[in-house]
Amino acid sequence: MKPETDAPRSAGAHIWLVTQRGRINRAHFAAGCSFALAGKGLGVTLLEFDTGLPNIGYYFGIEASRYLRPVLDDTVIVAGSIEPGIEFASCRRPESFHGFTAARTKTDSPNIALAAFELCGAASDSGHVDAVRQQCSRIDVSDGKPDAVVIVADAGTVQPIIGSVVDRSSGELIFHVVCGTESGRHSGASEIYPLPDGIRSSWSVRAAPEDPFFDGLVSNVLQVISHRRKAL
Amino acid sequence: MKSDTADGLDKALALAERLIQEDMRRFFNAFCGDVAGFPGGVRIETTPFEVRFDSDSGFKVSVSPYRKLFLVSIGERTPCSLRVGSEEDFYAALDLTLQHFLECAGE
Repeated sequence: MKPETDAPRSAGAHIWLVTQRGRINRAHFAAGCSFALAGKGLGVTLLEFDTGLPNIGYYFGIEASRYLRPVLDDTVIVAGSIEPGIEFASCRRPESFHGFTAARTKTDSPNIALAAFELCGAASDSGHVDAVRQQCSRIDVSDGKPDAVVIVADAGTVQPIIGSVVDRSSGELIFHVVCGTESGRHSGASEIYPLPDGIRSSWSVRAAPEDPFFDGLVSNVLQVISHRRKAL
Repeated sequence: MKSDTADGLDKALALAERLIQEDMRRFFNAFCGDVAGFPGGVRIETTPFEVRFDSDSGFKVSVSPYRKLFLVSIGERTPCSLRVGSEEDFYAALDLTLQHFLECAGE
């Protein structure tokens, strides 16, 4: 991975963070990536769609009675902004994002839209992907289709997840972060990275993780998106 | 007997009948349902009087429903017990349970 960023300057980007349901700490990963992006001076709009705890509210230091409200009412949106330049919203059902508008307080720099959600690698995933895409289209000019998809999953589960998220006609870039001991080299992703063993050590900290892994990952994703755009 | 999440959760939720208030049954069900879904997997054991959650990383929580409240005991050696009799209690208990799980998973 290259540490220097060649971020798209003429436009923002729309990236999906897809984690394997029940296996990966989705919120920890999303918080780490969003802070790494914001640390590069980019505006970030982070939408988290899904049910399992923890949600991003835990890592953004929100009080329990706020970040846990969706547990009792799945129509509640936990939303706000946090320095440096991150707008966030978390909800258990994608449909509940109707009416939500990102404030985009940081207008002098490209905005990166991040959508974080979980899939299990089953046929039922497609409806969830459609619902996420529909809600993403409300905050992004690209009709809700991502420029890149980062999938965090076991080597054995990633293939059906790729099948659920990729629209072959729109050519999304696929990055696979492999958890577990198997290699992900047969996953079909354009870039493959191992998930560091030590990443769990910051799971309980009520702050966004600042592991260099996240910085390296988002730098690479932005660089590949930029190169793709220049080539078009 | 310990069981996998889906089957174990059904048995655990049956204990909600011990609570006489609808709100408390809702809190109990939400609590058990969310703990069972913590990332990485949690085992569930249901006895006639309580639900026990644990994981390979050392996470241990038991939930005991009574008529008007339920007790949440977090940890094993010196467990911290919390009474859940209101929505605020529910948030505090789930927050501490989640933190305990994440601490264990990170060790």
